[in-house]
Amino acid sequence: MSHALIYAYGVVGTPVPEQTLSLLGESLFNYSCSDRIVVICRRVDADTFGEEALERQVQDTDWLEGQVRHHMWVLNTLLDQGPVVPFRFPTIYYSLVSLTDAIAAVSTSLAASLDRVRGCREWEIAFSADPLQLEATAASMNTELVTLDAEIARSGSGRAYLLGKKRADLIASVVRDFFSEQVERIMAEPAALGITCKPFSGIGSQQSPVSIKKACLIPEALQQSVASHLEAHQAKLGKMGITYTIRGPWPPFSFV
Amino acid sequence: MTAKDEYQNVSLLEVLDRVLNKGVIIAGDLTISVADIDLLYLGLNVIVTSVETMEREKAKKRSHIS
Repeated sequence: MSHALIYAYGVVGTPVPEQTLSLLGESLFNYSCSDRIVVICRRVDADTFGEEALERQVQDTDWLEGQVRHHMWVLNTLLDQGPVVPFRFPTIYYSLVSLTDAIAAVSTSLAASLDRVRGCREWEIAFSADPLQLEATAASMNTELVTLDAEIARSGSGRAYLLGKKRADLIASVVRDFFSEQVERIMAEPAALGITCKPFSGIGSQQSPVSIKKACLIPEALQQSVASHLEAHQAKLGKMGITYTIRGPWPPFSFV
Repeated sequence: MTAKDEYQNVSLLEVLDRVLNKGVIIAGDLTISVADIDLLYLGLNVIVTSVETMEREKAKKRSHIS
């Protein structure tokens, strides 16, 4: 190995047992910055993780996949030991001194983040809709559209054409608002229990008017309640053409 | 919501969406610090796009097979 750099995965509140670290890979170690801040680190080779080398390496999709999956796997395993504040990939320092300085500057907010995510897991709740079914439901429940549809039905072809154009302009926003309203309504109960939810926007995920993703920070004790709540509304949502999936748990990437 | 085994099946895009796009960035005085991660990040966005294309192709092939 040439010059060694420090790769940081994230912060935990107490040192992770050596036995666990050794299972996660070679050269992983606890680095205690204070009695409440422990950074989980790995010594990595500058030939691979140095600035120029890394810019080359990330062009190799297979290499990148291996690295990001390992990053995620380590963080997910650490979650079983206690709260984790995950770092973005790649967080690399030239020395422990530099790492110490960087952490010292934000140690209060890191400690607060650890407290905030303690006992919680991040889940993704994704709602998707069948466009035609959702449009039919939304249109039938919107007074303006119902009136417009009735007017189109009794109009001659010229006027019906113009009204149809007006309808086309209106329908997209009606459907979007209706979908968003249904999702917010479903998520209102978990929010009332103290669960934090926020829109999840991904860099690689396809954005779509018929897909709404939420990142939710859910205390472990409430995970089953949230799942049951969604299940209880499944049939009602299904009638509107809306389905949901729950993915996770993830380290709390969206809440730190 | 106990299906931890689901994690094994998550797509690369889902992982990238988190490890590259979320999580804490700690500023340092190093060459590879926030600004440089941002530079890398531009390159990574290009990769994400190609991964996206790759996954769509895989999905198409799967649907042809089934």
